[in-house]
Amino acid sequence: MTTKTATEFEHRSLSPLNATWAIITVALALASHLRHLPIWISVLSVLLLLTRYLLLFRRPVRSLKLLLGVTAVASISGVMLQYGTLVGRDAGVALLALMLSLKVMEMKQIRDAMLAIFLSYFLVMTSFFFSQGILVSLYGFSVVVLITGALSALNEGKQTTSLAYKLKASAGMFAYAIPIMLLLFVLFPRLPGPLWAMPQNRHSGITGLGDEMTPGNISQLIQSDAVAFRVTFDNTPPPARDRYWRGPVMSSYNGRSWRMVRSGILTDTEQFLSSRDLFNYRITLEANNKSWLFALGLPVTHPQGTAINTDFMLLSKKPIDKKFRYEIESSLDYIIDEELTSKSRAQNLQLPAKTATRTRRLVNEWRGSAQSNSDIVNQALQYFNSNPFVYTLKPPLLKKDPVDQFMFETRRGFCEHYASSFVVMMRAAGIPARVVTGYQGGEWNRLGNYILVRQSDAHAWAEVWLTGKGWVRVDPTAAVSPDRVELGISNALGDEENLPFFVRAGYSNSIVNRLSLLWDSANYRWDTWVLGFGPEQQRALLSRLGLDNPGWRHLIYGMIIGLVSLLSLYALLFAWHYRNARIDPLVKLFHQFSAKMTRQGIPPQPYEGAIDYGRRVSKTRPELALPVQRITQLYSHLRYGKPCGPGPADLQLLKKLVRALQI
Amino acid sequence: MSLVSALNIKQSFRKRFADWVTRHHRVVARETSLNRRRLYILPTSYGLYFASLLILMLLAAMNYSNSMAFMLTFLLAGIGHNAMWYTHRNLLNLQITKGNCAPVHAGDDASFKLTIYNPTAKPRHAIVLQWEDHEYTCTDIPAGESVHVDLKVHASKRGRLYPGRFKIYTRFPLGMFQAWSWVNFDMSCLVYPSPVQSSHSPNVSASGEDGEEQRGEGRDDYNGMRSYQASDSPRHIAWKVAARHEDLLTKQFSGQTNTEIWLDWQQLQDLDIEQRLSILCHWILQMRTQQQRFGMRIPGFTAEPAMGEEHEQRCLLALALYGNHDDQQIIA
Repeated sequence: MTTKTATEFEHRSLSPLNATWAIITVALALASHLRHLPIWISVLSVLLLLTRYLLLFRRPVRSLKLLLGVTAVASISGVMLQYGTLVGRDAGVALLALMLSLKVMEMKQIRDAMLAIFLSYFLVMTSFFFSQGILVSLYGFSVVVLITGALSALNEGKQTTSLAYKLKASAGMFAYAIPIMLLLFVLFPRLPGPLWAMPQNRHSGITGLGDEMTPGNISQLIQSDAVAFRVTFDNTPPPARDRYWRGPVMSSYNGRSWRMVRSGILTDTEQFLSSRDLFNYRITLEANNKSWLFALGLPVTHPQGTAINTDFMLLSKKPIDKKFRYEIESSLDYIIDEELTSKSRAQNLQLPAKTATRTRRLVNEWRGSAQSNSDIVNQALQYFNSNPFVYTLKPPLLKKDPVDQFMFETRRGFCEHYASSFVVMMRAAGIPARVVTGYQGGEWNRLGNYILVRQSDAHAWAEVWLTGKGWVRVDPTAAVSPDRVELGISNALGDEENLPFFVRAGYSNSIVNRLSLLWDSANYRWDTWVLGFGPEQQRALLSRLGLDNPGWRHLIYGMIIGLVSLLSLYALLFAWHYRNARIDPLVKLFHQFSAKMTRQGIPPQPYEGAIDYGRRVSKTRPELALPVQRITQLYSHLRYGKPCGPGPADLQLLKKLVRALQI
Repeated sequence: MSLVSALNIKQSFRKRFADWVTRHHRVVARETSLNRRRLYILPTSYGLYFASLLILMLLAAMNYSNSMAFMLTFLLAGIGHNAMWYTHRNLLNLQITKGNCAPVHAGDDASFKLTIYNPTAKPRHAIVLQWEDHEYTCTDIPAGESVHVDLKVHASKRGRLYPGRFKIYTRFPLGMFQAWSWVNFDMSCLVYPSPVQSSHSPNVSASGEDGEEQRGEGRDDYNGMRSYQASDSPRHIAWKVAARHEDLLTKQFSGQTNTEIWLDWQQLQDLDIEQRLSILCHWILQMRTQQQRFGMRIPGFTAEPAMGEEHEQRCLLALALYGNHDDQQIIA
């Protein structure tokens, strides 16, 4: 018990212990940002917190206020210089981190610490704007338990409880909050899209296919085990050799690099179908900041906000700046562009003059003997197959005329070399052809029943236009290394390639791989059920519950009804909890005693106290006098005589006496 | 100035609100239990800050369509909701028993000794008792135990102090909610006048004689010291002691005559009632420290010269309740 001089409980001053709590929570909240904050901000924040901690053991420093003011101004200018703005995600978080550290520096009263702790909650939330992975989320939520514990430390009396006690109380509140959280998460109406424009500073260093292909691009991408996308199929997925995930289609060539060409939008793709065998699947695409999506073969239906262009690419209206989940139907049995427009023909025959002269000469020889365009295609593939071409991740550097040099000199290359030179050969022979980049294959995750496509599955192949058949896919890499297409990249490259471990042969059966598949499967479920939960999923859930055409009105009703029932349940639960806890153990024991006596025909009278009752019992039953008087005297002593009430040992003794009273 | 009046308005509003809420409450004789009906709970200013923070977080989550931000916002909303129950539970079913209060002098703080018993299996933390806007007392009560608490009440004037309604509240664990109850015990504390020093000194007379001119203290035998009064002879001042003490002390000598000291109302004629009472009070305290026999005469009350605590307290009681007709019989 303590008496303080301040007359407002609210304005208590901050004890060193509580200040330490506040410093620790702010530090933990800050730690979730250290990965992406500029180094000077991290260092400054940590220094400020550390200084505050050390100042706890010193007398107050008088010039601190001035110093803090200067630091605040310097911090704001620093953030301004670093980001060119004070708003937006990155600059906002940097500013918040610095201001929070400064707030910690100048906290004196409980209320300052409370404010700092509230802001720590906010800081934890902003860390989810950078990553929402399982580990980051786990960390964030653990910090929330600690922050809540610190909050309860601030509101304690002078007698402090143990750390474990605080954390237990905090975890209790946390646990009871989970049902409320889930209910609101599922039923709180979600609005599509941002409420205000966000500065475009997200996802700067993301790997993935580009809109340009130069030999060397893709072999670099192979080094990354980052996930490109994950796919679940409604029915059996096509075999690996048919899993060509089409991405950017490139028909413009400058002698070295391939580029995409702007093309029109198709309204209907069903006209190209040869059969109605469709694959229905869902893709969860990682953010890539590009505006194209990947699909198998010919996409038939396309998700909202996307379109199919005349190169049969699936395009999104805005760049994919965060995980995007879409459902799509594709056909692998189609004839597209039976008639080629003259514009398209010209584009797909375009070759810069004075390039690949030796290759052109070679193709002209074939032209003479070939019966049809298909023969020339086969001739070219045969050429790769019969000459000593090697499929390798480390091709020699190509200089002036890359195609000629590759075709006749180095003969060592990766998929982009084969695709590129094949298309050049076709165009030289007068066959419209183009390069297609995308991903090939993908790993089947048995645990999650989905296909995991990594950046290392990036691939490049060719499409040629043949009369009567339209655009036909030709993969020249398969002519050199059939394993690449059949078995995947890890089996196609030799051991001497010094590959990253995850593409090495034998990796797929190792424990490491099994663990990584498990982890990826957990991530996928997380992405699908938690992170991907948005307006559409909400609508789908409601229609599964039997609502036709559910709108936000239904969501609000559902949320209110759900919340009211849940909170009423809580009210009952807590009330029940109290009822059980309310009985005074001492009174309970005395009741047991008087019940025993009542059975003997000596009930207690309302006017008499415990001692008088004991005397009366002793008179009627002298043989019980000793134990009964011991009980009644102990009871009144415990009830009225002890200044601090009965302790556990006292209760135990009384219990023993009451039990021992055998009648 | 305006700040002060704003504070006054706030206080009077609070008081009126409390009056309105407790209008059906009865004065409790001895013991009360804080049951559900008597417990109130409202968000504190921190609770409101927290609510605004949640709205801000919700907007941010919506703007970035960020699932985990939604999760965290809703989780914190749930934690806030649970904190309400925890706070309520922290105060619920506590039993408060009124206790005694030692008499104090006007201007001092009376402390009423209350006992709070926690009959439940849950420990209670940071339970605050506060009377009006006076100094608060904060305590923790372990499960199944009792704690004695001093409720500080400012005794502004002499007489019988009825503190009336006081507040018991808690903000534990998160400070976002305040659960409280008003308790109005039938208890009071005796407030003696505040002692005031004056140039007057008690009337000293030889017993049974008209010895108005005779000074009480003879010059024969040294009989201790008392504090200096303006009428004392400088020869009797204990100069050696004065070098060590701030106050001047006068040496006393007991003569052959049997002297009596009367603390007499009539002696303080030029002063108003409260001043007289304060001076008489000061004299009583002085007599106590000097271990002197004294008698006291005030209108309606006379105490024959005597010594001892009982006598002193009877006199002080008479001073405290002077003019209070309800309490006259206690004095007599």
